[in-house]
Amino acid sequence: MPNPFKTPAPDPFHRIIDKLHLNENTIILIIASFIGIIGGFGAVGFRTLISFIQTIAIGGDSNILEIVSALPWYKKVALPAIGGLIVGPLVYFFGKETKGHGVPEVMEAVALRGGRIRSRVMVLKAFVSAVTIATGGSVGREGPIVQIGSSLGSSLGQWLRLGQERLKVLVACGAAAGIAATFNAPIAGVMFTVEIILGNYAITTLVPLIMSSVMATIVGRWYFGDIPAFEIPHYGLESPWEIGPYILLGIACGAVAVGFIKVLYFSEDFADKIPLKGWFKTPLILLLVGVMVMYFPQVYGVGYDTITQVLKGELLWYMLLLLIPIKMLATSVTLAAGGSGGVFAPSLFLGAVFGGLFGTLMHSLFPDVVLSSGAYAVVGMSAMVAGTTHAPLTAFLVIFEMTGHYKLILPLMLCSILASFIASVIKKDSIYTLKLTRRGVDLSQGMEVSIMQTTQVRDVMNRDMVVLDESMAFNDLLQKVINSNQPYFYVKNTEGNYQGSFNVHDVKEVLNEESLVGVVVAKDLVPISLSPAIEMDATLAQCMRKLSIYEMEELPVVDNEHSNKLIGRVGRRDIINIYNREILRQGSLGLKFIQGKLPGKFPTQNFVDLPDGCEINLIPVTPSMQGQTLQGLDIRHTYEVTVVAINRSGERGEREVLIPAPEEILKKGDMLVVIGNGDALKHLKDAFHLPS
Amino acid sequence: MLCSIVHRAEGRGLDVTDFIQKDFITLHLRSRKKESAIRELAQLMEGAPAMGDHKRFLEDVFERERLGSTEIGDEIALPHARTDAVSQLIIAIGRSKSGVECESPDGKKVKLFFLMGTPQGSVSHYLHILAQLTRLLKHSALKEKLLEAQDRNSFITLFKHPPQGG
Repeated sequence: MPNPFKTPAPDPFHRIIDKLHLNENTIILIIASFIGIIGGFGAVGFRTLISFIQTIAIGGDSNILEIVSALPWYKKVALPAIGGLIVGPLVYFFGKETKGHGVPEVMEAVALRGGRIRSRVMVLKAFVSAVTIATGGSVGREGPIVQIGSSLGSSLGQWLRLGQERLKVLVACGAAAGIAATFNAPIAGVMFTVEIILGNYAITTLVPLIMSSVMATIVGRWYFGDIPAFEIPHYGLESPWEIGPYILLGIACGAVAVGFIKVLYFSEDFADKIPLKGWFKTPLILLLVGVMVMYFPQVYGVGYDTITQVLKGELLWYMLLLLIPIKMLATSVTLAAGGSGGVFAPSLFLGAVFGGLFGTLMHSLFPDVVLSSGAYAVVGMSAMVAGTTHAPLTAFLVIFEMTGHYKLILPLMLCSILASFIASVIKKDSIYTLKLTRRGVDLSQGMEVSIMQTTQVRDVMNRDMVVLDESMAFNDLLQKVINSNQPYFYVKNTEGNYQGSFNVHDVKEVLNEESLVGVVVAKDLVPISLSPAIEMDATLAQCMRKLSIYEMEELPVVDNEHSNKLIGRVGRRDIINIYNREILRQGSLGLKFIQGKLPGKFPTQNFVDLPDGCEINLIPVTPSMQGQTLQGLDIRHTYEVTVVAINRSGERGEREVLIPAPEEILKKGDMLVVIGNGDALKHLKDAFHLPS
Repeated sequence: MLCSIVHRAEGRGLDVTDFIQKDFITLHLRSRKKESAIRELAQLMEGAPAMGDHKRFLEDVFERERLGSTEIGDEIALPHARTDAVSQLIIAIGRSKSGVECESPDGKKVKLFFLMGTPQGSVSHYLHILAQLTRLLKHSALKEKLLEAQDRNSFITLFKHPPQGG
């Protein structure tokens, strides 16, 4: 067969590099700046959308608190529910991905899916969040804006066909742009992304993030003006003794933050149990928020007007006291109902009222040391954010930038660190990571460990094993050993309970020892102390740990530790195979990460061992392949390489994986997942002028 | 052949004859039944430094007998157990001139009892010791001499220097 393929087909990213004669890092910086600009416009667009809906809903988009307070009571009660009537069906019919805070989803995409985010969901998400916030849902803008920004970055990166690491950087650039433009806080934008989204302080990542953040802030300032989000009087550290109350404030905020996280997740669990259809449930539960708005219009929407009042020390102590539980509830109920929005602004709100209350108390106790409550409200915001997000640097930087006030930097830093520390001591998960942890995803450990922690031994174990009765005579036992190709032999008692195992090496030297006939039975060969076994519900991580502790290659699987019934075996190799395959599936095939403890998610018959020397590669479809069928290309016969999947971009840029039918026509942008011998793969790549 | 086995086991640092002690030998077992013979032999080792838990040791030996009896025929029985009731290999030997009622494969009464306990350890070493002992005993010249031995010292000597031939 003649080889019709001559032209190399670099991806768009490398085409740009070739054309401009620039190095990759420079290009990434340029792309990051571009993402900053579009991310900035995304933030502007999102805020404009909220303003637009707000104007329709309450007849204005500034001085919200004043407008809402003046509304008749029935409007206050009804508005969130009306928003729910729009949001509920959208979330119900278009998938749960649009629901919730937003940030955890981006964290997950970066940590587990190589930065791939479906942009289709984001458009809807933006709308749903805007409606929720504008109609009084007590949530913030940062969650949706982070999702919008990062999905812009992800889409651009996927179009450029960047590798996972670069794609993640662009996703992070998008998130940083969103935060920077929304809060007029370029430094906090970078820090938020680094601390929360990436969890990685590498300098190579930092530079594009800064570029993106700067560009986004320029766009934001050009549109909204360069005014701090909160105008506050000139507060400062009045006396060194003030550090005392601030330390207390930091600790208390950490504890309150954990309380907020608990109330939030308790409410979500509670709402999940209500047996009503989602589209009906959302407006119904949001009525509750309406009732809260009726008595406390402060909790309507993001609540910046109230925060400003508290920062200026304008609210009385009992109002502050009441607003703490009311705001916690309002935000929790909004999200539990299925509303969409962030938890960052509610944390700011909560911190401000709690700090304000604390400051008032301290002022009455030590009027000579504590001059005003406002400074405590400012610091409280930072501490509360640090406590809920476990991101102290972001917390004090965002407050520093939102107030434009340097004088309070010392208590800001101190309280943020303290609150974050206290909160993480009380509860390991932050408000963001808890959502993922409850789904079985542990981001602190990365994708690899998550696979190990979400997959159960039962899904990997092998039922094919040699089980011997404990009273089996030596000669019968030898027959079994000789006829088996397995290294381990498992011994059970008459009830089927696992007694122990022995290795073929233990007996190979006495295989011809006829003198042992009649002296030895199977039980004599197993260790005296109970041999290690793994329960079928254990995770692969637990299994690997046990294999290492006992220095074994294989462990028997029992149904549970009490009955100890033998049901299978699992080896180091089985686990490593599953692990590699799952990394491959997520990395190359772009399949969805499987979470939770779904039974049978790794049916063993679906996995095949790769022969030695065999590799799986992802190769782009070159222009010369485009328009041809797999049958026509005849890759299998010509190169001895098999195409196992086609990774294709959908209409909106999302990747899907196709089973390769012979008549499938290859399209531009397709990636082929191929399997073959290393040499054969090289041969194929050479023929198509692809880099090895 | 016999020498080569002994030599091999010695090469591994394990020789069953090193564990045979005069105090743990009785040339006149009183018991007429297997169970009481085992108890009588175990009694010899009670209080020995290597015997940690005498009661547990007996339980483990009887549990092992339940899984499969250890009479190997030719008037010999080797009740044994791998048990953490002992801290090192320990052997008691009993001889009964009239024989003990057992379920030997050849129907003969047992005249030589070797009660053995080994602690946790390598399975292959354990099997080697057992194989070494059974090979020695199946060597009929040694068995005959053991049955005729006059005292415990000559009993031990026979193990250390087994008679050639047979």
